[in-house]
Amino acid sequence: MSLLEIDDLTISLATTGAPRVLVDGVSLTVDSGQMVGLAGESGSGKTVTALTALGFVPDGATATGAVRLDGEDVLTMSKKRLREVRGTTVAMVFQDPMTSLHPMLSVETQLTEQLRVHRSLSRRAAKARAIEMLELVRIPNPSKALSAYPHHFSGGMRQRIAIAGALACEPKLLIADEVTTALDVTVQAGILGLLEQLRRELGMAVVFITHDLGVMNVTTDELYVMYSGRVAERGGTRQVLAAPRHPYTRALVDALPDAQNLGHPLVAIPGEAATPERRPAGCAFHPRCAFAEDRCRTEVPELLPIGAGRVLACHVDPFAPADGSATGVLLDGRIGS
Amino acid sequence: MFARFVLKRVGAAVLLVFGIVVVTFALTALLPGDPAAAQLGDRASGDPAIVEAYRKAHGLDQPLWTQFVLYLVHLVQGDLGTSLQSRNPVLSDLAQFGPASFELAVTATAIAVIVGVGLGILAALRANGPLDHTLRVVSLGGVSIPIFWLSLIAVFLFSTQLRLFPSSGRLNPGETPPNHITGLYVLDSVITANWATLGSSVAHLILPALVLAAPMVGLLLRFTRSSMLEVIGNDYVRSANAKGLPAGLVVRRHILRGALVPVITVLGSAFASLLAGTVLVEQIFAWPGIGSYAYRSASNLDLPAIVGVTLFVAIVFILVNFLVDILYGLIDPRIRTS
Repeated sequence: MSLLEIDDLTISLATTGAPRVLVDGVSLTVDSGQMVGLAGESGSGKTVTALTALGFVPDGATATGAVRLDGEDVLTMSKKRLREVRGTTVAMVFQDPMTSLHPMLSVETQLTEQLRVHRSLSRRAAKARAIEMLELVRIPNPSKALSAYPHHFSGGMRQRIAIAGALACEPKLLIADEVTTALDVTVQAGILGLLEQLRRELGMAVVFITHDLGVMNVTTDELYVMYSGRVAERGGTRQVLAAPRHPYTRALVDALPDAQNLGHPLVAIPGEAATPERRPAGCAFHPRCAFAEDRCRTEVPELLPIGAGRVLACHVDPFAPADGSATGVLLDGRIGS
Repeated sequence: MFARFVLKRVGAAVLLVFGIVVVTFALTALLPGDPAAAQLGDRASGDPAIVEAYRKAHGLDQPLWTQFVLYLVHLVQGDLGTSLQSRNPVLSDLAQFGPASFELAVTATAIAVIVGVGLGILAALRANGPLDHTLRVVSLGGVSIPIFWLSLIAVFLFSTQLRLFPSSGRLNPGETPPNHITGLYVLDSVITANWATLGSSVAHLILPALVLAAPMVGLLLRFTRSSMLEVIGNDYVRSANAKGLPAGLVVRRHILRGALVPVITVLGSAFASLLAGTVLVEQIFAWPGIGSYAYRSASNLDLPAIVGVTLFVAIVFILVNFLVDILYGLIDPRIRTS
């Protein structure tokens, strides 16, 4: 049994017209200690998908399918059970540490409250644990930091504090939603290294959500590329990035800046990202895809295995290798080194 | 750091008081209506010699700035002049009527905070439900129903018809007030263990306090609701929920804490309208407080008393806003440390 099993999850928002489908039949598994990446543009449903692991479903939306956390379906859990699971089995770190910490509560309160609730620790024991957590995320002078407030810290430090808070009760699974996006590039590397180290030391699984594929490569074992609420491609992170098979993944990789294509313009993906309000029929990516055929405009491509543990949802599969191996056309070493 | 924050506020408050003194003085100087004429009556004010003597005796013939300096000197000595109407020093009049108004205002504010903030929280947690819609009408009513009308209806309904509460005064006629300790009858009768007087003073207090609280309830309800809803949408509330904290704790510690700052700010200005309301309410309920005193002074053009009341009310208002500022700093660490 995997730690997290999302099975054919569909989330739709009832509107006056046709229901808006935010997530369309996504399946995803995360094993203990595994780091799984979820990539895609904003509106691809990656965050909505991951948030269901905590039992968060957008206001007014209905979710079908199953989201099994340690074998228990989160979608059918009682409110009480949900609050027990949150923070202890699954925890979350949010995108913007400037807003995810409470500006009027001390760091101590924000690090100890979940320990007092879930573990019934005394004030002193919780404080000792909080200091331990701050040391773990490498906040200098932890006991002094406890009495401070979030506005005393920089963005990177705040994100470390947020991570310390999420990990206080030793969750088995951490959902990290664009945790480096709001930070300076130099700080990003520190946070990524920290997450990687914590995962190894604590043996927890991480679902890492980002739109930045460059970040993915450093950290994740398994990569899901999502487009318009569906999984476009899945596989080992290195293989997927080294030899993307879906035209969308390929385009994302091509849009990455790196040292080799300095001086050359970046290749932007033409057209606009599909949104839940305006999702093209068939393969949602077809209006932006250079390889689209007639079938792509009418038929939703199925996710099919393409060997080496990879799956792909593309009718055309333009980057399939001639010899039929899973590798695909290698990119000129830009990624994966 | 907090001491410096408080000190800054004290400085600002002192400056404000001085400003108020200047303005009240200027107003009396500019006010139409000759106090000498008003005080001397029709026949005496017809005689220029009497008017002149009166003006001289009261320093009204001096240049304006001399009058101001004189006024300041007296003020510092606690001399607010003598009420032309009661013939008592204005300060002792204020000391006599102040506690009654204080008792009324504090009770009304307490009611307004408990009811207004409480209902505001409920409305926010049940946003757009039937309760929320009902409370919207309640709050609109509280804000927009004129207080004199509400007073009359309250008296008619609860005093005349239902006979639940007395309609006027602080005690029944013939009852002796409790020993003067604080001047607040409710508090004094508790201190002196005078239970009969306690019951009577509470019964007298309820109706005017409720009426006075009504606009404040409306205002606080609306502000608490909208402020709560704004905070509920914040990332840090989602963080708190993601930690699996009990719903009650999330509301109390995370949502309310964030929502309270604007509510407290409003409380300061709501208190101003409450002070204005006391004039009407005290008049209707025959409550012997500053409001009644102000009304009598104004209708008799009792200038020293008017100035005294204005100054008193302004200082109370500044004091309340000072407290609001301090409270603000206590709740939000960003305010006191930056």
